[in-house]
Formats: sequence, structure tokens, C-alpha cells
Amino acid sequence: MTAKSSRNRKKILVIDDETSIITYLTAVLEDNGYATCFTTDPGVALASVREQQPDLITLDIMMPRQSGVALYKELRLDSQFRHIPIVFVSAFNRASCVGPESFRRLVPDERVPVPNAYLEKPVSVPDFLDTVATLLDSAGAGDKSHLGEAP
Amino acid sequence: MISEGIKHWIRTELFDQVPVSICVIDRDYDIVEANRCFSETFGAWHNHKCYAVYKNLTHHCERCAAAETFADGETRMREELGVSESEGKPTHYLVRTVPLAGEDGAIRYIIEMSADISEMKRLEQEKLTAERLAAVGQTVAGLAHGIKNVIMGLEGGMYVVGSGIRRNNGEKIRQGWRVLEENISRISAFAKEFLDFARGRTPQVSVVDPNRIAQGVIELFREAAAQSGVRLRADLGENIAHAPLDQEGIHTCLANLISNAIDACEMSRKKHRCVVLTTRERDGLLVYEVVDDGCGMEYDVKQKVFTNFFSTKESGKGTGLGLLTTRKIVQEHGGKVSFESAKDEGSVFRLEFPRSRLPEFISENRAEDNNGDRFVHVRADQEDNR
Repeated sequence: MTAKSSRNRKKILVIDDETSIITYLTAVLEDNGYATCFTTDPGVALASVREQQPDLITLDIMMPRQSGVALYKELRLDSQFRHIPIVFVSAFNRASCVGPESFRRLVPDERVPVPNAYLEKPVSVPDFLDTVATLLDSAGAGDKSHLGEAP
Repeated sequence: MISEGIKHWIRTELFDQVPVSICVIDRDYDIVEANRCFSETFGAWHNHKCYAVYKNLTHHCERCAAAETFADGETRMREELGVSESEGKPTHYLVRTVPLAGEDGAIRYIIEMSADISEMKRLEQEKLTAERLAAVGQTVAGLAHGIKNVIMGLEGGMYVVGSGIRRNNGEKIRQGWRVLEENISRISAFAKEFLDFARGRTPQVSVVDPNRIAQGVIELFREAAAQSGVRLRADLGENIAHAPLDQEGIHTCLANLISNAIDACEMSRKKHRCVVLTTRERDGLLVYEVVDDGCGMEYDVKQKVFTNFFSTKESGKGTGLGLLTTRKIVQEHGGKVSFESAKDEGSVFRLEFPRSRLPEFISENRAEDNNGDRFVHVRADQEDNR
């Protein structure tokens, strides 16, 4: 797990097993003023979240050892992390994985909310940034401080 | 108690009432008796040889079940292709030959009972076609999934290069360029593997020892498994008869499964990990099974197992075509692939081959012999693979 930049800016944790996707998303986020950190190993993702305390997480679904859906469930059932906004970024069709019906088949536990942010790869940069900003706004009640200076 | 009247009816009438063609032949293959269904299906039979009536042949069939039953007195069941008098077209029959011994114990006659299974064969063919179409659909979906990932990688590379140029940041340009190179390599590898998969290879069927194929695969992976700290062993069933299989195809299937099982063990954090390849046969069902106690699969992974380009392995380790290729080869043998898996406990992958659905082995000599004979016994679904 690596932190790419920091200091008073909103911090986004990117979880994806593909390094090219990490390179892409962290570059887009940093160019737009966010601090980023990332991990390619979902097995250490929980530890990363605990250590980095990100303001938002982007999460791939198909990864070795642990799927993004299982990780999402763990994060949503943990009171420490329940509040952190999560956006799925996956090549799977939304309906087949995190649509209300398919998601309940994957995760029958009603305590885990159906994900509300999903971007299908390949993502468009404006859509990605809009989704990130909207989720952060919702979480931070209109706080725009994440739009800090670009590096 | 059945009344005498009914018993009488069974003795005198049942022969002509059953919807199965029945005839009695002697050692010269002359039909000496036949029921109504037989007459309606095959027409005139008095003073005719059975092979002439069944198949319009002038000599007895090459693999004649009746001849074999005359020779050893064993009852036999066999699928045959004949010509129905009423329909005039090739018809599939399930034929049972039962010896009739005289008081001296010598077999003088054989009863042949033939049930028309053409409709069943047609439905079976339709099912195979539907399975193939479903596989095509999954293939296309899997291809789209793989391409979407690569497109995102390419867009990412372009973005990072562009960002580096805008900021005059050489390191960022190089970083983006590496991403572009990596994803162009990936799409090239995908295209090549996809074409290989789509083209496939013509199955070369020969009669082989199923255990011998398993032993070959175990030998192939012994060193790799040891290096990964995985114990690999074979548990091969005894008395498994030789079977008509595409040896190279089955080898590929087992190699895919063993390779996956070793990878699953590597991903597991357990101390002692084991992969076992077993073979067994029961009630005409030949089974290969690969059991591992590796990392197992979660529900969402299990849903996508047979999608091509779907892989949970680390980048560069799997393209996701292995299981799809395995299923394709197994289906070509009339078999099926199934699996059970539990997260953190392990997986079992099973290849099941009903012997009755295995491709029929026809030696080159026999194929030549039968070249002009339209009754060559080949399963309809094999014809598609020619």
C-alpha cells in the first residue's frame, strides 16, 4: 500500500489489482487536487483503510483472493468504516453485479446497503470526477475542500 | 392375482401390441418370427436376412450385436442406425439382443428388440446445439469484459502521457507509456488466445487408458507443485476400461484443472496444501475429479467461472480461457464439467463422461471400409465436428 500525496486534501484510496488502472485513476485524481493512496491486494485492503483513513474508496470487483463485493460487505458491516463513501469501478455490467436484485443474491445480509455508486470500465474522466465529488459532498455536507490546488 | 384371461392375452396378444419392433433370427440371420410393430416399421421380412431388412445390406453388419450374442450368450444393448420402411429415412434404434437357448443349452435363436429413439436423439441434438449457443453468448460477454479492461488501460496510458506532456513531466510520460505498452501486449495476447480457442483443433479420438492420461498430467505437474509447496497425488480407480477419447484434449483439460488447483493452493495461506486427481467409473459414467484444499471461491466468482477472459489470478498469470477450453473439450466428448467450492476450504472440479455419449472410435481401416456405406455408425453431434 502506498500513499502518493497528502496534506489537507481529500484522500481517495484506489483498490484494483491492475497496476495500469491504479496509475490511471490516481493520476486523474491527483491532477484534480485529491490526495491518493492505493493497493493492488484486497487481502490488505482493510488494513490500508485503517491506516490511511481515506475519505472515499474506489473498488474493483474481480480481484485475486478476495472480490470487491466481499470487501464492500466487510467495510459496510464495520462501524469504523461504514461512513466512507465507496464507488465501484468494474468492467462488469452494473445490473449483473450490484443492481438491487443481483446484489441481494451476492449479499443476502440486509444490513449491507445496495451500492449506490457504480462506474463501468472504461470510465469517462468527467463521470468519474463527478461521482467522486458528489459522494464526497454528500458525505461532507457540501464540503468542497477536496478541490484543493492541483500538484 | 392376474386372471387367466389376462395371462392368455399377454401370451398371445402382447407380442403384437407392444410399440417395440421384435423379431427372432436364427443362426443364418434369417428372420423366423416378427411382431406387428416390426412388420409395420420394416415391411416384409419372411425369408429375408435381418441385415437386409434393417439396413438394406447384402452382408451382416460389421459390429453385429446378434453375432456377438450367438458367440457368448450375453444379452447386449446397442444403438444402431437403420432404415424404416414407412419413413424411408435413417432411424436411430436402441437394439437389445437376447439369446434363446434350446433344451440342450445351445443358442439357436436370438430375439432382437428395437425401440425407435430418433426423437430422443433429435432432442439430444437440440440440447447440444442450445448448450453451444449458450457457450457462444458467454464467450461474447467474456470477450467484451476483457476488452473493456484493456480499453480502460489504454485510456489510462493516454491520459497519463497527456498529463505528463501538459506538466512537462518526463517521469509521468514514461509511466503512461509503460501502461500503453502493457495494455497493447495484453490485447495482442487476448486476440491470439481467442483465435486459438475459436479455431480449436479437430479431436483425434483413439481408444486409450483413461488412467494413463491422468498419470501423464500428474508427472507433468509434479515438479511445479513441489516448488509451490503443494502436495500433488493421484488416486486412480482400478478396473477402468479403455475408452474412446481425444487423448490430447483430455490431457489439456486435466492440465488446466491441476494448474488452477495449484494456483488456488498458492493463494491460500494454509500451511499444508494438497491437490488430488482421482479417476473412477460407476454405472457407465467415467469421472475425473481434481480436488484442492486451496483458497476456494466466493459466490460471485463461482457465477463467472465459465466466462472466458474471466480470471481472478494476478495480472499476467491467467487469461481466463482455461476452464472455457476445458468445457468445450468435455462437451465434444458428450460430457459435462461441474464444480463445488467453498471460500477458504477448497474446490472440486469434476469431468463426467457417460460412456454411451463418448465419440465412437473408427479406425482408419474401418473408415475406408465403410466409405461407401451410408450406415457408418457415427453420432450426429460428431458430424458437426468434422
